[in-house]
Amino acid sequence: MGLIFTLTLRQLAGQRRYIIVLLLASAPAVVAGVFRAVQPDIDAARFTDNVLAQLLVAVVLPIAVLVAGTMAFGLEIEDRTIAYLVLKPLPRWQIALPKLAAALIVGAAPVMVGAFATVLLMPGGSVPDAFGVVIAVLAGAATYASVFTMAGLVTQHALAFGLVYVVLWEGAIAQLLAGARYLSVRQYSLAIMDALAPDRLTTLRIDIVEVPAAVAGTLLVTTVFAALTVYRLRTMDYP
Amino acid sequence: MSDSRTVNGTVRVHHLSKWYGPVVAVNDVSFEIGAGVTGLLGPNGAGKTTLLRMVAGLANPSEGTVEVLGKQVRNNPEVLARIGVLPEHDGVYGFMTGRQFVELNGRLSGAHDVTAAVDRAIGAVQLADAQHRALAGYSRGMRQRMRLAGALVHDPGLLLLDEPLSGADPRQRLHFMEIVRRLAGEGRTIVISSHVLEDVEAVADRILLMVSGKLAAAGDYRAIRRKLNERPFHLRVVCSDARRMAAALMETPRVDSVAIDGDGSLRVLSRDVEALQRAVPEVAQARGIRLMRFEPLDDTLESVFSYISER
Repeated sequence: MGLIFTLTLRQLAGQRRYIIVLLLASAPAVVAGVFRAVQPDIDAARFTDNVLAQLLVAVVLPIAVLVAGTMAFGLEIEDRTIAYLVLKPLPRWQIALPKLAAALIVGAAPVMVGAFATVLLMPGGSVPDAFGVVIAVLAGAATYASVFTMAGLVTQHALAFGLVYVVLWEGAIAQLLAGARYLSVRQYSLAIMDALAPDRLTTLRIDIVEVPAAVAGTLLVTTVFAALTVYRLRTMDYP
Repeated sequence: MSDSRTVNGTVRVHHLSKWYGPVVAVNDVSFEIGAGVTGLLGPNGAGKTTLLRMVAGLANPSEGTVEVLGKQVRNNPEVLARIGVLPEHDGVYGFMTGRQFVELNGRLSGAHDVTAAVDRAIGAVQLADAQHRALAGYSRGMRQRMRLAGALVHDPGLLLLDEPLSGADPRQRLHFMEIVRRLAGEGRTIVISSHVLEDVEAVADRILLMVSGKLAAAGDYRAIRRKLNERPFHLRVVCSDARRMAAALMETPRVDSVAIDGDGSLRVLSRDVEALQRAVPEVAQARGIRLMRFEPLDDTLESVFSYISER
């Protein structure tokens, strides 16, 4: 499994598209740093909470993991190299899980670093809060990675599909319909962040799902889509 | 050495079909092959790649079954460990060196003593000098050979090579054929697909001929070659005096008929290709007729394959 994991890390990190992930991941920290420098009298807590909820969790996290997740199998299909993996005497889960893990690391690691720096850059930002935010980002990234890795195996238009999903479902429908919130990765991340970083998100009036629902949703969606990826890998015609 | 090298009927294909919507790519194909080289021959679009992909387990059959070493291939690690496949598309991990690529294949295939296996496989394709260069910088021929090393590294008994010679120059072709002959000499079962009869006949003991998704002929390549040489052959001749040339060619024993087309060119029919090719310039020279064009009319691969399949 380590070989496919390493191979995928090299594939993903070597792509020009990965620059988008790095730029996006640094955006919250850059925004926080700039505002702190030019507006010292800013309401730091409220500003930080807005950056975390509206920029980091709503935009940076899903897009960064979308780029990495869809490339995990997408590049193999695009370059027609997937045959080298599926023709080997390996159970399909030993191909799917390292790909998923690599997509998670490549997509989430820079976002986690950026999130940590964002919290610490603002006045009053504490290390425990920063760790809480990072764990929430990791949980959200795992769920997104599972969904988008599967999408990369199903369609060559996974990136477009992912963008529509992030904007329409996560950005609109799940915000407007109370029931749909329980099927929103963004909601899971915010709920975990709210629980693990007690001083964060307190200035915002947003409805967030309960923590047990968020944890269960994170585990369920991640597991179901990972299983679907293995199933798809077992049954599809390979290019 | 894998035991598949001594088993007859290494690959058994039974009423195999594959369709994509309304398009039938492979239509009710059955055959059985054992040790030695089998050439899978047919024009482009005949269904060779689809057939090989199903044998390798890369594609699901719409109908029928494939057995390799008596077992189904797809998702079967036990069988996959004993076959090596060179897919048609020459995609590689361009950021890897040739050696890293072969090593990756060896490790994922569960090869024993991977370092020695990689040395052996790269030695077999004679690319030791280039093994530390990135694959992105290889020529197509070198890439094909290194891909072959990747397919060979775990010492499989069955090798499926899909159009391994497409895009290769004549020297690379000869070299590749030498490698295939050597591998076959070690007792492996090798299936090599091509749309060029000459490529396949140089190495294959047996030919499977596919036309329009169907198995048109199967058997010894010499028998198929004989049919090929006996087929009627049309030649177009443009010369300075069509009437005199036509009369002279009709006196030639191997010419069946000569017709003069509207544009003044001759359409010559013969069943002896080589004799006709010799006769035309000789007749022209003997009669003092200037020969301006001399070309086959129906020597496309499709016409050749269609003729054989109709016999």
